[in-house]
Parts: sequence; C-alpha cells; structure tokens
Amino acid sequence: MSTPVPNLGAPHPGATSELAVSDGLIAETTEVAAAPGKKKKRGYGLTFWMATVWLVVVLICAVFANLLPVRDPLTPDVINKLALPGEAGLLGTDGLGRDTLARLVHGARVSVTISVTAVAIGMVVGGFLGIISGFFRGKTETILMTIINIILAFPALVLLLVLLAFVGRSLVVISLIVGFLSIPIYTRVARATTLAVAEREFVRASRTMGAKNSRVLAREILPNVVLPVAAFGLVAMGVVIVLEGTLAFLGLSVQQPAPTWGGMIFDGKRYLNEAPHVVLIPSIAMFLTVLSLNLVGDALRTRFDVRGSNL
Amino acid sequence: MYVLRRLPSLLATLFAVSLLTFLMTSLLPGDPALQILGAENATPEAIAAVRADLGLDDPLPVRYLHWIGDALTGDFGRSYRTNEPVSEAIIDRLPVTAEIGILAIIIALLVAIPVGMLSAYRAGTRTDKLISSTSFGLLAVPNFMVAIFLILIFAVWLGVLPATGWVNFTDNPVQNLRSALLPALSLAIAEMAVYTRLLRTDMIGTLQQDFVTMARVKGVSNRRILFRHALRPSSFSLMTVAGVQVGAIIGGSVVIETLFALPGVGRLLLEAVLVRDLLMVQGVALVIAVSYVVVNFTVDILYSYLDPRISHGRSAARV
Amino acid sequence: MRVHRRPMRGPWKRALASVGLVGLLLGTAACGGGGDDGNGDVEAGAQSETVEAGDPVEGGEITVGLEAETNSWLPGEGTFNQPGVNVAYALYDPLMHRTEDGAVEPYLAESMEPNADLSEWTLKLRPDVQFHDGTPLNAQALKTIFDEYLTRPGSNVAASVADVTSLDVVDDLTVVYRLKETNAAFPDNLVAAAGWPFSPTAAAAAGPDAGANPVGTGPFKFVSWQRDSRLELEKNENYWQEGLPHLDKITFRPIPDEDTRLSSLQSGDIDVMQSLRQSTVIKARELDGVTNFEHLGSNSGGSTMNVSRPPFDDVRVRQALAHAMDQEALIEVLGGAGVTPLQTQFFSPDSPYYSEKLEESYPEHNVEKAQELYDEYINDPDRSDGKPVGSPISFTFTCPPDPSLNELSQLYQAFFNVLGAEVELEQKEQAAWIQDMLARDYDMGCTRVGADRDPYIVFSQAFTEGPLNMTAFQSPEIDEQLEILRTTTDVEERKAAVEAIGEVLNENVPNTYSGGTLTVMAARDVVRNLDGWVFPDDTKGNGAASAQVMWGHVWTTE
Repeated sequence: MSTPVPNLGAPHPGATSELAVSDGLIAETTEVAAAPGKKKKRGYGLTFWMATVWLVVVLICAVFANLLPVRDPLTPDVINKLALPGEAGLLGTDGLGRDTLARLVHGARVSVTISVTAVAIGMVVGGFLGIISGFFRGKTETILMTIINIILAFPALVLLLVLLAFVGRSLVVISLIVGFLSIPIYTRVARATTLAVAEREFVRASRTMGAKNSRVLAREILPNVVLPVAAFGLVAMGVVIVLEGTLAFLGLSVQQPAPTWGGMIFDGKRYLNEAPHVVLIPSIAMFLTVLSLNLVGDALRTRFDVRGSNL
Repeated sequence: MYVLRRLPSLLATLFAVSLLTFLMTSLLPGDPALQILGAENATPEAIAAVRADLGLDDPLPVRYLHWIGDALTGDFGRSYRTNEPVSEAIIDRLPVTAEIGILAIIIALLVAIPVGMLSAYRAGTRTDKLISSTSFGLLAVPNFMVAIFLILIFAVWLGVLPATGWVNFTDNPVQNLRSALLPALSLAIAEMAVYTRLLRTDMIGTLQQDFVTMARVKGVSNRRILFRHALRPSSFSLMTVAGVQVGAIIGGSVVIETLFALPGVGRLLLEAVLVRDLLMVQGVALVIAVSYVVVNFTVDILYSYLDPRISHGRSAARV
Repeated sequence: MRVHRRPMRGPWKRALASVGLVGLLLGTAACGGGGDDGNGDVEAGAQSETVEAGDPVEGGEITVGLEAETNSWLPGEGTFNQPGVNVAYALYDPLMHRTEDGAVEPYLAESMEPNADLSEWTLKLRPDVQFHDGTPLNAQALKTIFDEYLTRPGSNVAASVADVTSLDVVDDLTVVYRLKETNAAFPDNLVAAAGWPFSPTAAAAAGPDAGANPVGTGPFKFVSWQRDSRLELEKNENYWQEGLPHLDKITFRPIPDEDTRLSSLQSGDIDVMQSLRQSTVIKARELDGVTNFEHLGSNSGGSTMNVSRPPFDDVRVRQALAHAMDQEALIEVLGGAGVTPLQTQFFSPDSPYYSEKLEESYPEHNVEKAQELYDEYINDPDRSDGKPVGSPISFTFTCPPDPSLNELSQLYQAFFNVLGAEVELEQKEQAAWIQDMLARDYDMGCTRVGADRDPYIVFSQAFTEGPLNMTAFQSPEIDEQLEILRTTTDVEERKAAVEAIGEVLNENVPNTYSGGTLTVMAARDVVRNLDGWVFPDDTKGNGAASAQVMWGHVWTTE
C-alpha cells in the first residue's frame, strides 16, 4: 500500500507516509476484512507469482552472489567502459568497465541486507513499543509516543550525516541507522493495530474472564498484530531499497567500491546521454524488486486480514 | 480540553528536538574554523582565533543555553560561512520550499482523488490492478531520476519549462509558477502514489459501511454516494497524511532543490551540513522539526474537531 | 564551436589531432572553423584565437550558470573559489592580472615596481577611478582595506599578505608594500582576493552585511542577490576603462548539479555555463550553437601520500604505487580521454614553467616495475611499517564525496590491489578531509595539485616546513631552488629552478597526477569574446583561464 517518498528531511524516509499506511491498514483490517465476500480470495494470480519468482531470484543473488558464475564486480576494465549489453558481458559494463550483471548480482546483497535488517529492527523494536503503548495507553503511551514524535520530527539528514561520520559507512551501520529511523513508523502501525484489536470482542472477553495482561498480550494481541505489521514490512522493504538510491545521491550509501543498486544508478546518471543503459539496467532491477514487494505485500495482507476476521 | 491535554507532550517534544538538534550538530566532525578560513590560511593561530571568536571552546551546556536563549527571541545567530543572519536565511528560503511542497501536494491530490476513487469503485477489476501497479511503480524510482527525466522531457526536448532556477512570486507570478512546476511535479510523483493507495483502501472500507448501504438502498446515485458519502470521510485521512507528508516533502526537497538549483530550505540544510555551518544547521533543523511538530499538531486538532464520527482516541491513533 | 587546442607532445599529439578534428567538424557550422595549427609552441599558449569575435555590440544581457557561489563577496571574508572569482571579476578589478604569457602585470593598478632587493613594492593607482558608491579609489582606501579587512583576525587572505609588514601611503595615488624579506613573486598575490579593492566606506557602513552588498570598481555594479539563486549586476556607467563594459546586465546563477547545468544551457535558461569537469566539457562540445572556451589549467587532479607515515616514508612504496597507476585510464574515467593530456608536473603545457624534460622522468605505467619495487619493500626485513616480511602493505585511500572522484578512487584501489596492497576506500567530506591532510593524519588520498600561480608561491606552500605541506615531503634541494625563485625575476633562471624541483618530485613522488584539469566556459554562440580580454595598454590577457572570465570585455550579439 501507500509507500512513501524516500525522504531525508524532517521525518525519516519511510516514516511519514507510512502513517498513510497505518491508516489504510486499519481500514483494511477492521473494515474490509470485517466485511468479507467482496473480493475473490482464492488464488493469487499470475502477477503475484511472477513477483514472487523475481523476489526469490533477487534473494538467491544476494545470498549466493559469491558462488554464482558472474565476473568479479570490482575489476575495472577501462578500455571496455560503457559497453552495451552483449558487447562485453551480458548486461554491458559501467563507467569503469566493470561487469553490470556482476554488480547487479552483488548489489542485490546490499539491497537485501539493508532492507531486511532495517525492516527487522523496525518491526521488532517498533512493533514492541507500539503494542505496549497501544495496549497500556495512559502515561506509557504518552511518553513513548512523544519519543517517537521526536525521532520523526528531527531531520533525518542531519542524523544520518552525524552517525555516518562517526562510525563509517559500512553496510551494517547503514542498515542499523535506517532500521533505527524506521522504528517510529512501525510503532505507529503496531499501536494503531493494537488499538483496533484491543477493542475486539475476543480481547474484551479474555479480559473479563480475568486473564493477566501478559497473557492477553501474548495470546490475543500479538498474533493479531504481527501479521499486518509483517505485511506492511514487506512494502516498507521497497521503500528502503529506493531510499538507498537517495542515499547514494547524497554520497551516504555503502562505502565504494561495494556495488549497490542506488550507487549504480547514481554513477550511471553521468552517462545518461551517451550510455543510457548504464543507468537503466539497475533502475529496472530496482523497479521490478520494489514493484514485486508491493504486489506480494498487498496480496498477502489481504490474505492475513481474512484470518484476522476469522478469529 | 484536547488541546491542553496535548500541550505538555508538544512542549516536551519541542524541547527534546532542540536539544537533539544542538547536540547532533555540535558533534559533527570537522572544524568549522578550518572551513571558514580555507586550507590556505588555516594556521593554528588563525584557527584558535576563529574558534575563540565563535565561542566554540565553551563547554557544551553553556553553548546550548546561549543558543536556545537567543533562539527563543528569534535570534539564531549569524552563519559562520556567509555571515548572514540564520533567521533571515530561513525566512528567505522557507517560501520556496513551502510553495513547491504545497504545489506538489495539490498536484498529487488532483491526480490521486479521481484515480483513487476510480480504483476503489472498481476494486478488484483490471482498472484497479493497473492503477495499483502504476502507483507501486511510481514509488520504485529514486526521486533524482524522476527529476532528471522530467528535465529532459519538459526542458530539453519540449522546451516548455525552464530546466533550473527560481523566479520569485513577487517578481513575476507566471514565471514563478513555471519555475516551480517541474520541481513540484518531481516531488508529486511519489506523493501521488501514496495518496492514491490511501484513498483506495480508505474508500473501500467506507463503501462497505452501513450508511453507504443504506444510501444505496434508498436509491442514491453512485456519483452522489462516491462524492458525498465516501469522499468526505476519506478526505480526513488524506488531510492527516498530507500533514505527515510535510516531512517527506522537506526530505525530498534536499535532493530536488539541488538538482533544480532552487534557493530552498532543503538545499540550505544540505550545504550547511556539508560545510559544518553549525549555527545554520541548528537553526534550519530546529525550524524543520518545529514546523513538522506544529503542522501535525494542527492537523490533529482540526481532525478531531472536523470529523465528529471519530473519537479523539482514534484520531490520536492516526497521527 | 571553437576548440582551443593545447600544445602537446609525444603520444598525445595524435590524440589531440583527432580531437581537434572532431571539434572542427562540429564547430564549422557555428563558427566557421579556425586556423590554429597546434604547433606545440608553449609560449603561444592556449589562447590562440581560431575565430574572430567580430566587432563589439553594446547592450544586452546574459545569464551565467556557475557550479557554486561564494559565501560572501567581501575580499577577506569570501572564500572565492573558482566560480566565485568569476563573479568577482565582474564586481571588482584585480590590481594585477596575468598576461597570456603568464606574466603578472598591472591591471587596475597603473604600475608596480620593486626596489632593488625585491622587498618593497611600490604600487601606483590610476587617477580618477571611483568605486560604485562614488568614493575615490586612492592610497588611503588601499591602506584601510589592508589594515582593517585583509589582515584582521579570521581574514582568509591573511596568508597571502602574511609577509607584508606594512602598507604605507606615499601620496594620494601611491602605496608601498613593505615585505619581511625578498619575494619576487609578491605581485601574484594581488591577482586574487587580496588585490581586489572594494569601497571601505561602503563596507564600514554595511558592517556584518558587507559581504552581501559588494561595492567595487569593476565593470558591473551590484543590484541584488538571492543566495543560492541569482546575483544580478548592472552596467557600471562610470567605469574607468573607456568603452567598457559592453553588456547592460549580467546575472550569475549557481547550479550545483553538472547534468542539470548543462540541461539549462541546452534549454536556453542560461547563456554561459562554467564547468571544471572533463566529461561536461566534452558533452558541451557536442551541443549545437554552443562555443567552448576551454583552458587547461596548471591544476591537476592527483593523489598525495603522507610521507611522514609508514609505508609511504619509503620511496620504494611511493614509486611502486606511482608505477602501478595507469594515468590514461584515470583520465578516461574522469571523462577526459582525448582532451586532457597526461600530467607529469605541477605546471601544464599552457604554462611558461612547463618542462618537456619532466615528461620523461615521471614514473610511467609499468606494473612489472611497480611489482618489483613493491616486492622489494615487503620482503625487506627492515621495512618501515614493521610488518612481517612478505605481508602486504595496507592503507586507507581517502577522497571527498564527488561522483567522478568516487569512480576514480575505485580505479586507484584496483591498481593497488594488483600489486597485492590492501586498500580501504574512505569518503570524507571536504572539510574533514582538508583538516586531516593539514594535520597529516591520513595515508593517501585524492587532492588537486598545482595552481596558476607563481611557482614560488606554489612550491613554498607545498614543500616546506609550513602548515600547508600536506605530504610532509621536504628536501634540501627544493629549498635551494626556492631561494632562487624567491629572489630572482629572471624568467630563464626561474624556469630552470622549477624544472629542478620537478625532477626532485618525480624522483620522490610525494604526489602523483591524474591528468590536468580542463575547464570550460561554454557559451551560446551569440555571446562573444569570453577569452579576448586585454589589459588597459592592450597587452593580451590570459583569456578564460580556469574558466574565469573578465566580464567587462564580453558582449552579446542578441
């Protein structure tokens, strides 16, 4: 669903519009799902499976980049720079004559690592805070949400620059920072979902029957919040992947020469006139991946919602 | 009262943001004195003189109190780099970013409302899927590439809009709009997708509610149902999101303003960060943070009063 | 299009010829081609005219796109990097300027004469020159500027006037610069910001806002400035040079992104664009209706090594790394293939101090030789980095975050990896990187070397005890030659000294080169005479050197 503009100013990149997401999410969990029978639920359709296949391919590239039969992504070959696809290598070469296919495959690792780590951190920490504040309300909620608002309001660009300047621009660090910056969004999504779930009959029933808070949280709330949040996470991965491109534009992405998709697009921008394929190929890879994440996330969410309503 | 209840949290946020802004920027590595002097003139004595002059050798808490005390009276100091008053710099540039941002939101809404409604009305059909895929696709392109393609198409090939630059509204309103159009469009592309998706899900939900069914049963026309009954409640969510998107606009403007060479706040912040212009960074960051907090606070309040269907609890959940 | 061909030798002659051909083919339509025979005469320099600019046309206005603007327009406060100087030459007049031969001659000043031992320089001003605010440019004004602005704490031209003990007024139009010691290169300092007189009356009145309200003697007067957007200037009707300026109005716009600046020229938003990037120079050549005013400055990209830190304290390592670099590939990546010659010394072929002998002595690309030197070092039991015999050297290579340097540093890394060295790349913001270099707290990294300035200034900053010696390299022989440069005005003697220093540097390679910096002012064909400026006595100036234009001499046929 709604995915934000990669955003580096005030709130965090993914941040802002995820609120949008939270909105839609609630609408779907509580309303669409509650009124079943509108859409055909069986089968995911061809696009879903194509998207899944593409994601699996990207994942395989990321995990097995070193084992795949591609050339070394770092060896320059200046004589063959900006070669067209087929001329040198399957997908041509970049401005240093490095093999585009190899860089694409190895770049997938960066995209996958950043997006998975960031989403995992956001989901676990943000999800936890969100459930706590949504369940307990009151002071806890006020304090937590104030902290979240502070993180959102602070210009992420400044935060990124300061942190990166201190700890260097390794893949791990960038993943952690983007993860940290996405905590607020998940907190909001999780809190909103928790608020909605906590109103439901089965939760009230459980409480009336004298269940302890911890039990209600673990048995009733958590299972119902995890799935929507996870579905949202899938969409948010796409945001993070695009965000990496913006970071590359600002010179804040992973330290070169490690190939990244955003870095490849940014490097290729210089050659847009004479060799457009250098920028187009990684753009297409990024495009397909983000599109696939959205399609799969959207489809899965519809499915999860069904379960939610059945409970 | 709701406003009063939110006030302490608002003040705490503002205070924490100011403290965080100050600490973060003070911790940036790189000596501003060196940046001011330039490599050729940076003798140790000159650096020491400049540092003393700027009060950089005072302890951090002292520097913070000085800064925040002045800031509360509207005095953010003078930029180390340009010697221009920080407050003036921000006042000069805020209108540019604001205009582009508002224009972007308007463009995005103009596209998203009809498209999102169509998508919701035709949910599950081929039209809906096409719209959904397109919106997903729009989100999958980094904004600097969007900007470059727009420049290529509208400025270089068609020659109908200027590629870069800014004309003040007061100098020439028409040229002002022309110079704002491409940057706004670059920002709007992704917003469009966000709004469309939001409106779609929101309206699907609304269309399934009892009052809509009632209206249908009563024989109210589809058009009337869509616009009168469904769009109105959904417009509140759109408003909320638009408020939250203020952050995204400012974030995106860092990139867009650099590419289009616009004198906006985003570029001011980026350049200030790059050259360690501490007072400028602190001032701009604070203003951005405060505007974000205030805009969303306002939207939140408006929301809770304009939409009587929804309790304050729910609205809080949204913002 | 007109392409200024630079004299080049050796393998580059052929490359040059083909480039020239392309340039001419593309350019004939626009400019009618040209007759430059590229004869390799160093003294003739780059500014050989290929096309008549025609007769001056009065009136009209132009917009100029620059890569940046400066922080302040007040000398002493503004940093005036390359694009900033461009604007300054519209607002101000330099007291001294460079001729096409590279000599420094009076421009705004009427004369500049040293005493016998070159330790006192007497500057005479022209009568009846007024600042834009109507106050006269006289000796007292120069003294006030010197005492209250140029030498105040925090002034960023303090270094260039550091050896002036005092500036004394002799009569209404005459001042004397008294120096600590002999300095034959002193007038060179007055080409830059320290030599741009501004109205002290206006500056005092504006106080801290003086930087935003410049008042000079230049051909154009300040109208308005919106930071990061546009600086508007209008014709100075009261200009001291008869018949100048030609334009009514000139607007400078900072457009930081190379690609969109070029797009703006293409779409006609701007009439002239400045660029320091080879790849942009080439793209601009391919535009229809655009004339390229190019210049190969004595400023090369390159890398510096910190010789105070192992393993770079060992000359074998430095030589090995130098031999490992393929400079042609480095230039190729920077986008300058075919237009930027290999650089082997501080001064470019456009400079009178260029030496052919140094072409031979600079370490050529030779991987075997590099490997030999490298192996010799790592197998030396007494190797300076204290690592076990046979283990690779490891170091960090730092570059500022610029798109082209980003690619460049990766190529450097690949070259060093071939030898077996372990290289970590690091991107560091310009400010932090300069600080590290000044503190000599780095291993190796990207820098620019050389400048279109007097060799004494260039070398005494780079290779003596002073704070600006970023490589920490010093040598008694360089000191000896610097003495000659400091005390002699004889051109041949000075050339010999520069060559001798070059030999020391090529032997010890504290820094390497990655090709000269080709700069361009690309202008729509209607804008003329960007490089045709002359001194008041009609001596030819140094054209659009470093893409810096004397705007008073420019006109437009539109």
